Amino acid sequence: MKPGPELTNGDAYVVKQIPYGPGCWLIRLAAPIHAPIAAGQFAHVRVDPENDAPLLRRPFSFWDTHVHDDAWTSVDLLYTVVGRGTALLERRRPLDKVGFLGPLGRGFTPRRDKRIFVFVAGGVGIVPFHLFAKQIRRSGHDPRIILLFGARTAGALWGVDDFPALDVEVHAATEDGSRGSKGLVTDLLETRLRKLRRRDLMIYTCGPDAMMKRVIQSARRKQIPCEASLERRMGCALGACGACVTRVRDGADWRYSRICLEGPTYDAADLVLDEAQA
Amino acid sequence: MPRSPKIRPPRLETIDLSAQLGPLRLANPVLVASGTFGALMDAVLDVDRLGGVVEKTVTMLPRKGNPHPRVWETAGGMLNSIGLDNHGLEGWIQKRYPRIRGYRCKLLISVSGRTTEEFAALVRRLDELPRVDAFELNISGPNVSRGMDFGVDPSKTEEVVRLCRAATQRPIFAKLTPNVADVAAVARAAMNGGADGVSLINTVRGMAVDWRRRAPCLGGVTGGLSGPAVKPIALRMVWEVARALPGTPIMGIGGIMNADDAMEFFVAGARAVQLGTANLVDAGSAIHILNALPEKLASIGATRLRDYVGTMEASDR
Repeated sequence: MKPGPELTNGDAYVVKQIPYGPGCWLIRLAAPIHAPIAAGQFAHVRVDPENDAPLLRRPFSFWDTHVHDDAWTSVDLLYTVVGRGTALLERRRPLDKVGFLGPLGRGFTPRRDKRIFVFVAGGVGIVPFHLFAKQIRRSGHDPRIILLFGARTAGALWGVDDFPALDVEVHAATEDGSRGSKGLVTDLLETRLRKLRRRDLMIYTCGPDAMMKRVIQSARRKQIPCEASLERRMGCALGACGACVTRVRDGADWRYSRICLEGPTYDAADLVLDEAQA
Repeated sequence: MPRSPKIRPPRLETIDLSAQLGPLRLANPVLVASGTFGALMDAVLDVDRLGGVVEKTVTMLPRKGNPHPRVWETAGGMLNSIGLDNHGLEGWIQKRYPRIRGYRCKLLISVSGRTTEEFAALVRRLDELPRVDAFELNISGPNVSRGMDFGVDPSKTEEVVRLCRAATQRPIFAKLTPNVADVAAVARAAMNGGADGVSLINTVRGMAVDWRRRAPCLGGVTGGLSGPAVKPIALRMVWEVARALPGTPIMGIGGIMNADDAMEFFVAGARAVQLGTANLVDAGSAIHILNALPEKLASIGATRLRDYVGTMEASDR
């Protein structure tokens, strides 16, 4: 693995927090980041660098990036409050310090040979797709982008209204039917796939493991290439501790791959699915 | 021991941080502990400034390790059950050694065998590598099958160390487990077997429970507790070994997050310290501590760290 001399490990400052729904915030951080950031990469954030509680950092995907001329970059992380770390992050105010380590991991691969990108997102798994859509639109490659976004309820379709401006067709599925079709996003995917030409397609997915497992199964059945972005509890996020692993194919056998190094984005063909569900 | 605050503090650049642990001389007393350093970490800190790197434990054959979740944060600490996930001896030599052989700090290689003979075989093979400075015998990992729990038995400990001693001239440190009633007895056994010093403590066996799922939180069921929560246990054990075996080179490990924590271990009897969990929290922790240590020593009028090791005054029990 090539060392990234451009990796930033230091203090970032909170610029602002913008509410994005109940229990969901966009936090903008200013940090001396020199490396280009690819959608699907992540930052490992120490929510309170002056305190040992919580002890470990928390990984977050990039929602957006803003590059400035003065070497300071600001990044937007969209997060939901799910535990102690994110509850503390919610209380950080402008000019508070947070520890920033990143950008880390492998992002999505934009497949320039495909005309239609299908994003399948569940819950807060939506985050990397915002930056991805933005980067695709800037790249000159102009695929049709279809976002299939599932959540429990309409209020949990975080940031969904930011996508049409990026020329993304949005189709929502909610478990309670409060927006879009009632049911699971994976059913929505099955319906859509019937209407599209297989060889035009590339699927990207990020969300709960059970959802991604079904997405990957659909993609395999129809022989559509697919990339999945995984999440695990992490330790160092630098590949040293071996905490965040998933099973990947290794010849006829399998091995544990360190998500922070080789992921979090994987070619779905490499993943061993039983583990992805656990 | 100059302790008066009236003494003019020495200039920071003259403070001597070097440490001598038996035949092993370290430029400074801060090392990174086994299993908490590797991969991209040398991209975010200057490895050459460290006293040493203790490599993640190498086993004879590759090990896949345990299912996830492999870490679980707990109050003031974390549990891990990685399960000695590693490339195995020959894989390590091919894939990992070329990357670390260029480090200018000391390289200590942690090894773990299923049998005493396997420990010795690992040491013998690694001893052929020119850049290996010392060995740390992991006789105490909590995340592997019972066969590897040599460290809870003084006679087994002595036997393992003795066989490894015959396999190398290089310094040997035995890494001790806290999961014993009398750590000094195990330390004594290690020294009798020919160790040059001891590292303590390894993680404390623990568990986290998800009562709603009625299941353990860790994929490996039980794990090893580390971080600030275990520091008092580690300090007590370092002190016990230092007191029972005066002059034994000790590397202190357990919840060291900053220079004050490190100083506590030095006065309790450790000549050097290893950072573990701190590297996961901030890969730059060792450098932050190295930057702060001279000032800590200067504030008590000390010019040499080693004058300060084991100077805690504590009356007998």
